Amino acid sequence: MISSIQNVGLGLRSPHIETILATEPNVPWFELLTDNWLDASGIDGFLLDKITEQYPVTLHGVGMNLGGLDPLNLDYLSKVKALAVRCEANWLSDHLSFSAVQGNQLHDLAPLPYTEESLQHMVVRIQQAQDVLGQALVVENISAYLAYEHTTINEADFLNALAHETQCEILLDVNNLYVNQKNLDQNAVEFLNALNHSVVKEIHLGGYTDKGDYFLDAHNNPVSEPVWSLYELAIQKFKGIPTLIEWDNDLPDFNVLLQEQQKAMAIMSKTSEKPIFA
Amino acid sequence: MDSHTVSATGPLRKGSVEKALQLSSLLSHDIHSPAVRISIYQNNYQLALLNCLKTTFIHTKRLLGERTFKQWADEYIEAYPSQSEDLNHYGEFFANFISSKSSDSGNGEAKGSLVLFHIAQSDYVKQCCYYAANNQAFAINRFINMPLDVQMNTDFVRQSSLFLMASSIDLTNISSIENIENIPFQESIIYSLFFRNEGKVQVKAIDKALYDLLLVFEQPSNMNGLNETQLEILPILLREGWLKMAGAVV
Repeated sequence: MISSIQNVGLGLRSPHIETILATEPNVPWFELLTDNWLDASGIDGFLLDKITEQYPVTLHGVGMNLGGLDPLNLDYLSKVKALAVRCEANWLSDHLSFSAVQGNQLHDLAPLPYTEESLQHMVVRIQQAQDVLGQALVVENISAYLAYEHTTINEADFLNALAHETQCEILLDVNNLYVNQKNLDQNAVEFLNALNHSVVKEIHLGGYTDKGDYFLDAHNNPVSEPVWSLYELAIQKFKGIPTLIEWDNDLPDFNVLLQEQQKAMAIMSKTSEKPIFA
Repeated sequence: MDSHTVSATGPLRKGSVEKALQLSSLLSHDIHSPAVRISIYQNNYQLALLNCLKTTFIHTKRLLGERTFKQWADEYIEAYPSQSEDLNHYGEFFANFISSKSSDSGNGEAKGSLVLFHIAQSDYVKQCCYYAANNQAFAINRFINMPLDVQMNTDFVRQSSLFLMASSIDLTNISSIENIENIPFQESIIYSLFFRNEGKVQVKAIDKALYDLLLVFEQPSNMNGLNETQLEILPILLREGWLKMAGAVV
């Protein structure tokens, strides 16, 4: 089994598993949605084991509530750790957000104000989570539909500081930058320029829905042309950083995902100093 | 962390434009009103849980119809916020909830509410069965060769993927039920066992004695507490792999 994550991977979604196992596509790695596999048993457990026997994987979750005020859920973290061991995950990622309040789950990623206070809050919680998990986390910038007047630190600097303080790494979602540019008037290129080169571990690409007044980060469309352009800029700076195509809703045929993957590979290859393809 | 962050989350759970408007001071951007921005999160939350209920309560939805199901599901989502990161088990109280909605609506008889309860509960149990932990292997031959006193004092518990229901509806065949009014009630109670076979959930009718004995092993129990009839049936449970040793993987 290949042990390292490289080039362009795909998000693994259940309806595609049979196709993947039957056709064994040349995909360098898959990213599993942590929360969908925590209690994998029966046929799900069987399929999980089959996939992880054949492909390297990473885990991407939404339930750690890293920015929340509720105590970290140690039971949840121990399940994540067990899953990571089971599928030999190369790394674990979650989000720069809060997702639960007083025990109630939002099942969404709510933004934080970026302040010194919230930074210290996140630092403590990421360190706690990393202690339980026994490894460094990878933390993703989110898409958002609101921002706070209280914010005093720009998001990229916030992520740089977070990585510096906790040794966590950053999952750069390029689509989220573009969505936020529309929704919050944040400058995506400035964000890319401000984010430290050394902190980025992975890049995400996905599709949004244009709702007219705003973009909904629905992961239900191909990557848009402006996001491809932004990715080209990003991968010039973050050369060779593994990239992942996410598609969660209105899932198309698996071949469509492969086409998106090839498109990303072509851009990555074009901007790389050394050949990407073996 | 800024205390405003906490208050900002309240409206995410509940359709409350008033609360959202109070958040205007939190928002630095003025393309949309705060209420519109908050409502995007509200809609995402509502949709996530609604889709989850639709997936779990397939037969219930078919019998209620899309409109009524959505209306009652929306009310349920408001009354029962999700408290687990794992959406697969959301809807624990949905059967009771819609059963009482059916009674309150005035057009249903007691029978109608009871039917809805059993169909919805069956949907939920199937979901739990699908996502339950794998059965643990049990070395029955080794157990049989143990001294009798050791056998008698060994605690067993039911495998995690087995679920039971008692109902006056035949739950083995609910996909064939076309509407609530015409559901054939049985003269006697039918005892059903939900189990997984090759990754799929199956339901089969079992006799009352077997049902009762499986109920005993919901909690760790040993042979000392069983009556003669139960002791006679016990080998079936062991042979089928329906029990595991309590607190141990054998």
